[in-house]
Amino acid sequence: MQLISRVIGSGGLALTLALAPAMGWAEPAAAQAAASPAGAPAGEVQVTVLGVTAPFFTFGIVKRLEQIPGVQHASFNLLHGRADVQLKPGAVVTDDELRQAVRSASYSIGGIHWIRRPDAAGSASTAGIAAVNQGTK
Amino acid sequence: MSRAFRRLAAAAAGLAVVLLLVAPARAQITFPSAAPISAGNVIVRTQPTATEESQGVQSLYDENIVLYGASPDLAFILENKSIVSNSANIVTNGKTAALTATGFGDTVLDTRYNLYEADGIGSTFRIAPYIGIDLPTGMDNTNAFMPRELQPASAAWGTREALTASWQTLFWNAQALIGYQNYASSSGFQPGSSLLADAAFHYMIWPSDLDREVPAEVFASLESNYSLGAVDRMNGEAISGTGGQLWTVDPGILYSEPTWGTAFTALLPILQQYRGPGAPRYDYGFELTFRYSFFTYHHW
Repeated sequence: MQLISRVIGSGGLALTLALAPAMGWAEPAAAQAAASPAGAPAGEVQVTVLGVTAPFFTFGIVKRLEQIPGVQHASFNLLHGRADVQLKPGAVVTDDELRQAVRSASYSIGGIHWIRRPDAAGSASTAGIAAVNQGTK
Repeated sequence: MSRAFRRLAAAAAGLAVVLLLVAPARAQITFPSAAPISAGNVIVRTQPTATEESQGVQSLYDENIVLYGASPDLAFILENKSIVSNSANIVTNGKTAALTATGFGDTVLDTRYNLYEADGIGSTFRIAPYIGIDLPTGMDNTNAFMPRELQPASAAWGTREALTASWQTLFWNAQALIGYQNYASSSGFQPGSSLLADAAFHYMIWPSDLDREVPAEVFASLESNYSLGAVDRMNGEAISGTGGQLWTVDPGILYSEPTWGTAFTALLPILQQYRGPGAPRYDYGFELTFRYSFFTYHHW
């Protein structure tokens, strides 16, 4: 602790903050995107997908979701049947696009849970907001 | 852990290749299933298979399969035996000679429709009918001294109708198929029609934790293939030793990642009853499968 205090006290705080991203101490990716240099917010949504049972089948749903314009990255949690979707900063994706992607992948939708939802004007709700939408096919 | 299993899978695949080089080969396993195929998804499979039978009959072929998701419910499947090599000890005028017939095999074009689907979190139950057509694309007379049924291809048009069901969960999946295969005659040769009944069970043995983005899985598999066939005929006369029933049980292991997978399956005959004497009998067989999946933007 004494060493940390000395580093901070000697003006090392700026250096520590500058090195933090490289050392892996940075904020989560979604939070980084939300504070991107352009200042545009990035949306984040969880989609419950029914019928996915193995990694070989996650490929289809992940690929379909990532083909939606505005989606930056998608990953899948098999146990919870949940796709975690991160949007590009400033991008807007509708629930209908998410539903269509799930059906195109030959699966059924269980629900859509927005963690951070950008609106058409390009702004977004603040991070950490709870679900604003639930949908079932 | 993931690296260790990748190394293990690579080593197993390498060992399987070595086995295929020294062991001979014939018989279709890994039947079509009702598993989901996304629209625009293309899955390419190649399945080198080797079987050893009595009377010196050895068969080696490579079956290539392309599955294409045309829509969420409609899929097309193209199956082609690219290279078939059958060897046998043939007795002619009292002398026995080891002969081989090698050439291109036939092609099957299947259409599958997703008729019923019940999805849950980590589970799906589906029923899908198949309708297929056999295209006589192969070589049916590469060695004139070999019997017709041991030529690489039948040269006969045919149809295949099947109903398949899949019940998949996170930890196991079960599949079943019942089908009928029928052929037209070609140059006096009429392959016998056959009834097919297949079942398979896969049980996940790795990993134990699915509460994350799972990079790969390993399954133990047990498959059962039963066929009841009518005799083959040449100019209306039954060919002895053809037709009858064959039941094989096939244990195996499957390694699967999101974009590719590999499997090794042994083919073990349980029941063989042929119509008339003279039929070669299966001793054993091996099948190796490589599968690759990719996407195209073209779909309905």
